[in-house]
Amino acid sequence: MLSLLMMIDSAEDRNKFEKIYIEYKEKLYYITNSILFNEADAEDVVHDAFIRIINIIDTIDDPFSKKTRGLVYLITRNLAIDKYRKRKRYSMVSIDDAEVGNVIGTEDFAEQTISAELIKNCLGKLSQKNRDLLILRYYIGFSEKETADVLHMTEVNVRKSVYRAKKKLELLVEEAQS
Amino acid sequence: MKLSEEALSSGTKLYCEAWIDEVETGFNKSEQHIFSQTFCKKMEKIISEQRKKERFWFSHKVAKKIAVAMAVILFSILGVTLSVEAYREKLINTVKTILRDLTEFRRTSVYDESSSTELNVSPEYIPDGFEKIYEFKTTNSNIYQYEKGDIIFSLCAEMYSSESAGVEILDTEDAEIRVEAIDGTEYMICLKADLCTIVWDKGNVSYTISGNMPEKDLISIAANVCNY
Repeated sequence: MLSLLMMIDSAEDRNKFEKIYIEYKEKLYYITNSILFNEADAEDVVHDAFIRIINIIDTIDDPFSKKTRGLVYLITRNLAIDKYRKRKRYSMVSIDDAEVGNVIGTEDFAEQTISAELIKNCLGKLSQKNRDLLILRYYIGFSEKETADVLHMTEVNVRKSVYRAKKKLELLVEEAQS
Repeated sequence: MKLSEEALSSGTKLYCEAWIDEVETGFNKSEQHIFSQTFCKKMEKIISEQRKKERFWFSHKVAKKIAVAMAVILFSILGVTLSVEAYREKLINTVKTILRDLTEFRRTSVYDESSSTELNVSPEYIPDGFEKIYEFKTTNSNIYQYEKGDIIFSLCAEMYSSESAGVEILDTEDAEIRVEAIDGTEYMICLKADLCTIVWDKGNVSYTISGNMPEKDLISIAANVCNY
């Protein structure tokens, strides 16, 4: 009886969303504002991002883990980019290219084995959509349905897109190796 | 070339972590932003809604866990009870008693000292065509049985004393029961499928008449039973 009652969730578990809100609101604003360069729009996107996070709150175990951070940032960045596209300030290609250049360098690879480092570098050469699909599926560990919910796609579309993204990544890794 | 799941997992992990570090480094260098009142109000509303939802789910979870705990306790007690023969017997008897009480009706008659202590019962009215097929008479019990083709009815009268109060047990499972008063006597009528049973008390005699015939005919017979 005692052990069963001990299983009852603690108060900490009940405030998961609030914890995420307090921990990430500033960071999410930084992400959105660095894409949108507009305070009001950036705040709107942060608000939308938190609404999106509420919908997947059950999939989050630890609000402070790297996975959660990656997921929260990814959702917010995608929403900010969507907002950008709506405003037609930048083209889709320019955002992808800018990010690839910023985050991952295109230096030559010293090792020719398929290391995690090599895959990481090749991921940087993929389009943002393909990269997000692979991150959500293989790093965050989301199911096809969860990935579809986050990226606003259908499950079938996710399955096909993940397959194609994987193929592209394999080609890039093969090229890098040769 | 095929990339394994592990390779993809570690590659995406490395990429994502590098990106997180880059975002957070940029954030640490940035100025602190003061959110607008509109944003804060909107978020407060969301948080309050979320709190309500979580409170509901928390109560729901607690209720479920308590129910599971209670079921475990109940099954443990049942297990212990059934493992000891004496307890097992007692439990089975208790269950039987409860089931019997739910499906039977017990009627206890009250002994009246001023009433007659003699028993000589005779049905004064018998519908046409019925023939007596059985008769059994003792000082405290009279039984008659009449028949007409497939229709049979029996009348049973029992004298009870102050020591042995008259107790009638009727199987009332899926039966319709009602009480009807005729000429100052209360008749309890029990209808179950095509069987009709009427029970009543008069003096210190408990009467039961039962048969697969219309209730109206049985009431007429019951109303004309006399004890001489």
